[in-house]
Amino acid sequence: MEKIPILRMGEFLLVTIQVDMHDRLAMTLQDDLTNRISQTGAKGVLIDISSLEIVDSFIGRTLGNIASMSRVLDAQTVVVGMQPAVAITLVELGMSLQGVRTALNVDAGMELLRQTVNDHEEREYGSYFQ
Amino acid sequence: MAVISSETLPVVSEADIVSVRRCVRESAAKLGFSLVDQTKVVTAASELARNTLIHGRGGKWNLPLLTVRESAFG
Amino acid sequence: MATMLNHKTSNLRSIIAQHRDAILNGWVRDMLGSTRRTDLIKESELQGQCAQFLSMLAQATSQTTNTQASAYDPLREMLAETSRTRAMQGFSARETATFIFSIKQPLFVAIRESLGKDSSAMADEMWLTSEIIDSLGLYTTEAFLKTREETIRRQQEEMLELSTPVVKLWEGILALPLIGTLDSARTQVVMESLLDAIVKTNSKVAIIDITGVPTVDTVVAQHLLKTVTAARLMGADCIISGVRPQIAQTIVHLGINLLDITTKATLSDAFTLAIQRSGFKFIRPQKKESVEQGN
Repeated sequence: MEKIPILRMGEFLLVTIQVDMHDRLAMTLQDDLTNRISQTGAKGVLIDISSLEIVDSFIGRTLGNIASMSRVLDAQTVVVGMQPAVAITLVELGMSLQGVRTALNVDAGMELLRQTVNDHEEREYGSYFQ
Repeated sequence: MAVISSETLPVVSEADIVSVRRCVRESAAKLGFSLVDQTKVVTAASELARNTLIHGRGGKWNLPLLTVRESAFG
Repeated sequence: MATMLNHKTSNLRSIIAQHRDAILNGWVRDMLGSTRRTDLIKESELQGQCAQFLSMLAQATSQTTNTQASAYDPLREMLAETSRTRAMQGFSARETATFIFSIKQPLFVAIRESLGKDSSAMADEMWLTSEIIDSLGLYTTEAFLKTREETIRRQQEEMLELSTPVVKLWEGILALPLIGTLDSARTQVVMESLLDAIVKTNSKVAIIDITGVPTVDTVVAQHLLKTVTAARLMGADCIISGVRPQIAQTIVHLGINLLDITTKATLSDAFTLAIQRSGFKFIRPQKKESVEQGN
């Protein structure tokens, strides 16, 4: 069965979605990802959707779920590479990507992740260590 | 108006949603839709197909391609 | 008048058959004489078109004299196509219409040759022929105009594209000066240009300057909001600049919610903010006190 590969990049994980995701694939991805985050103690997840020409509400919900689950596991998520046509469609059809941070590409995404993780840790631990 | 072609696709599984998308994309491209408009139409079709699957326990997708005959002055 | 003539039959077919070459030669010669556009169309091509028209005319008139009838469809199609081509090749409306109207003279000569003995029949035939050619000539002109209108519309669309230029101000900072009204069609084009530019230049900040937008009502605000939302979805942010005092008042009075979009009065302020957000800093190097500043 096809699986979406999860790569490790330092303390972050990189997921590149290239195929039309369906139910089972989405479930598998969520499973695999949450497991990997736990195993590796990753602080951030980068999801690359630059190959996706269509993002419907199902994909949108999946991305949102991944972001929420990761957050519970203390990892931040950033989605990168959304195509202009997709962005326009999401806006015109009134769909939103609630609670998902986005960046233009993998580089920008990495930077954003680093910042976000830093801010997060400062907020969380900053008060303990003076 | 004349029907150029008509396709009926079953919508009973996830894989069928992918087929619907492909079919609608092809038709939209054939009709000369811009990339953005193609994306909108395919996304909307995807939503419909998925709803059919989830709420309607599956069904059939019918996509007739229509053509409008231009009069002498269009 | 037309109904009266519909009952009459035309003898054009046989007349044309008898005097075909003479008609063609006369016609082509007249046309080349008056509208010598050999720069736009070759004589051989012209002859071909004339011959084709003549055959179709003979065919159609043998069936009916009512130019609206379907018997004239092939003629109309040929004329529409010829007219369209002429329009695109750069002929004027008059030059294009002359193609048809200049057939009258040679046709009348032929009619006189054939029916000269019977002046009543000759007059009838000439009048009938004149009506038919006039009708076809008008049709040709209308088709020509239609092509012109299509060209204008296409050029308007292209102008629309051109009037939404996206400018790169700095590494990662784009500016989109909007000029004119912002309707749905325009917003689509604007959105697409901006988003494509954002991807192409890897820009995280886009400054949308609305100095040139006369009014900002709820509709315009919605369009701006859509554009900003789409950009944000992709990972870029927008700053709206060029907000005039009246616009600020309108926005508040209409209760338009700009969410958390940053707005600035001037493009300059917006640019300064964009630079800051992008993590850049402008530094003015220290002047050396001992050096005399000339100039």
